[in-house]
Amino acid sequence: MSRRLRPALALAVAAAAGGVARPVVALEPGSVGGAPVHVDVTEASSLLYNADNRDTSAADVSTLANDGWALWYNRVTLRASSGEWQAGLRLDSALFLLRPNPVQIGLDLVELRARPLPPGAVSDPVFFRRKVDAAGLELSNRYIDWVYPAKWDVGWTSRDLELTAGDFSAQLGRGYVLSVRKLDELSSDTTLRGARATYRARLGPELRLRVTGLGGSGNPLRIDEASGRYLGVDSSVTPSWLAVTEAGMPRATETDFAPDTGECATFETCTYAPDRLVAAQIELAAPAWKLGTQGSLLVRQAPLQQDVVRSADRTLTASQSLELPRLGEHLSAYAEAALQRLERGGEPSLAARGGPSLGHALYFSTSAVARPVVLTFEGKHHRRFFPLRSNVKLARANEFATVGYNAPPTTEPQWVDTAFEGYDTCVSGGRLRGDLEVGDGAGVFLWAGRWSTWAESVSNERCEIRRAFENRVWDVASGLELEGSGGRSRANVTLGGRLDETARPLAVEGGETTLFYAETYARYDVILPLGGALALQNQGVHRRRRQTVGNADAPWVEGQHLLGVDWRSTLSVAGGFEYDTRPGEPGTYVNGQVTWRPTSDSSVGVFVGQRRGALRCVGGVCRVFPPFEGARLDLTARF
Amino acid sequence: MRSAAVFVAASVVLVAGCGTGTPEIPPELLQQPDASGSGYPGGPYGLQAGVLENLTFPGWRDPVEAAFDPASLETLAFADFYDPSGASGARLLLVNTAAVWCLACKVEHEELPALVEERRAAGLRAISLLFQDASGKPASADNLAGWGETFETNFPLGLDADFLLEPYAGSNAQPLNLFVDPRTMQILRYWYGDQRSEIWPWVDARLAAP
Repeated sequence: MSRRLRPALALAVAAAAGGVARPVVALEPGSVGGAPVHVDVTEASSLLYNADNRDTSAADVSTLANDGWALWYNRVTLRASSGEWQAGLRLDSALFLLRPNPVQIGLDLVELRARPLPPGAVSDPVFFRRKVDAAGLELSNRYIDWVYPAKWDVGWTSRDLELTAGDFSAQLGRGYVLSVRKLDELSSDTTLRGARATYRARLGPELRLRVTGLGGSGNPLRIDEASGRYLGVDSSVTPSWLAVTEAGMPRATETDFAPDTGECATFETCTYAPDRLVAAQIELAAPAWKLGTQGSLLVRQAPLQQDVVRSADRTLTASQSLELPRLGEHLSAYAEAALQRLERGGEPSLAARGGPSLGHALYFSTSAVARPVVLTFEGKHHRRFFPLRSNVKLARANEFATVGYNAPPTTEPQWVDTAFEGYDTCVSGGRLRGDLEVGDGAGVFLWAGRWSTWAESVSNERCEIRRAFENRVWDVASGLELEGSGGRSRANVTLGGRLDETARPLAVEGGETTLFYAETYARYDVILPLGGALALQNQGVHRRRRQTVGNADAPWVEGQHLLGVDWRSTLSVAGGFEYDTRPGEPGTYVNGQVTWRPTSDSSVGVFVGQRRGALRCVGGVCRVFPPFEGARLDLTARF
Repeated sequence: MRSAAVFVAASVVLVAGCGTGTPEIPPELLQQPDASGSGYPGGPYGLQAGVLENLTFPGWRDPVEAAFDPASLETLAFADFYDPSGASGARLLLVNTAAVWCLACKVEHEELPALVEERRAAGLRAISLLFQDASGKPASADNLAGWGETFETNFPLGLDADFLLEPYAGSNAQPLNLFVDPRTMQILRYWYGDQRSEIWPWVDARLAAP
């Protein structure tokens, strides 16, 4: 860590200690119309120092541009309420204390260049100039200081009516039509910035109606703290009322390497063209059933990424859902059917090229509970059904690739990160899980899933069902769950595997194979009381993987294990060990972390060490996190 | 609340004046490349529009004839495809990038040789450049040979171990499919990823246009 950062770190700790030691009380600065005003302030601050994360690849600017930077990222959230009124503001600040230099990156890459140069290779001056240009471009939308109103809202709530202006989260049905929400595990918090109205009414003694209408522009978090990259807009993509919703948000900045062309598509640091979205839902519910009809219309500006989804200027998605929470004595069920139409210039996007004009999706889940046995089945059938990805320029802001406005329900285990390429856009299959209680606080479980997808090992946006395009996937696992000592001890262990084979032989160096992907794994999470107020926590994952196409030639193992001690849930100290045996990877990673929670609303956490890069997935939404090496301090306090 | 304010104020004061020193550049790296005599269109060059800069790579003009032999690498240049008079019959040039670790690149190359061959008579030309191996390190001549043999590449195949095309598409936006007018070397369209349902209808329309 640089000398310059040390005093800042010390002060931050001192400031946080002062802050978190205060009693937790909501402020009541006055009253409005006789109703007291409650104010909550939440302060979350992170100080990160990123050292060399050991991913350097000679000639690849991006692998040096992610070393040697430091960020102070602050999020302060104010929420006020008085009677039926609420208001909130989240102000994000990113201040980069250290950032890489493009000339230094060029010089470093010249040093790393393999010698002697092969015939046809460019000279060092040409190589250096191109690398400085590439680094300058790469850094043009990274490590830029910003202070911006990440979220704001004003709301009014009565018994029957709820009105919101500003930012809001929403999910209609199980997420086919619309899903914008916070995913902490993925550092994602997308909202819509506009207006929402929800009306509730009782139509009879047991019949309830809920009607929701909403509209606005997509508002993802604009700064990615894992990479220091930001999403920028310019005036060419903020016409009319988008100028209001984008007021104060990070703008595309002109640099020596990224001239302002006046058009977002060719202005390199303009990486986001806000999407407009309107949606509605009508829900009718009785104790034994709930019926939902929902639809959304996504209207785009000129695409910043030329793919089927982002090139559609209008995407209409609608679904019908039926929930039966009590189907007889032991059963419950949920079903949702959705249709999707992608349009370009008023015509279906793919119909003119031999594809269908409508995509569709079906999801079904049911549970049968007959203690001590619980059976759960989830199935899905998707045909040319696409995620509603936001209009992001992936070539310059790939970290925001998964920002979107829907989240089709997954039937896979939550952590699955091996549904490759267009897997979910053209797939049929399901998973059956059985849980058996074998004693007080003890249970075992088993699941088996089988899917066929026609868009994983081929590019198949039209979703043509051909044997040659098919991948057959099996996913099986079993495990046990134990709980004792009044909930103070716990053990969850899962052993599983996944096999993904193509129906056609795949060309690989030296022959052919049908093995597309295979994995066996163990996951565990154990908490054991050590006596007194101490508890031992041990959690981790070990995976043995093989990916024939697009990764290491041979099988490899990877994993992470964390061993820690927890004291009264107030102080925890842990050490971690991670590994990845793929050629070219550093191999091992070690880290340590301390977390102190003086109150239920405040915490101080310190992480020092290394963490491997990984694709992290939560419920079918995945993003790539780069490897990390350095230190971070996280402070959270609520006043 | 006061503590947070102190933290904010103190941190702002502490980082004020932070900056980065500019390193010294050795004089030998500041030499201007010799661009004389090529006849290639001059700059300024573009990334998404404008003229494609002339770059050179080791590779094979005809990989099949060269039997994918690493010892037979020659120098390929974008200038090789520059045809201001249209005498060669070339009407559209595809510049494609690939990496051994890239699943989408491999999927694309399963069909790319056939797709290019079907349109050769109509004026499509192509060059593919392999830039990284399975572990994300610079690709080698052996990687290039393995790639060409596996996918039976039948158009110019080059090695971009220096990742000179990185400004056009970084390693997280692969594969790149960049289309250029060989008569002017102007960039016409580009796609990131294997977007074949978008790319090939556009190519066919472009080749069919008078």
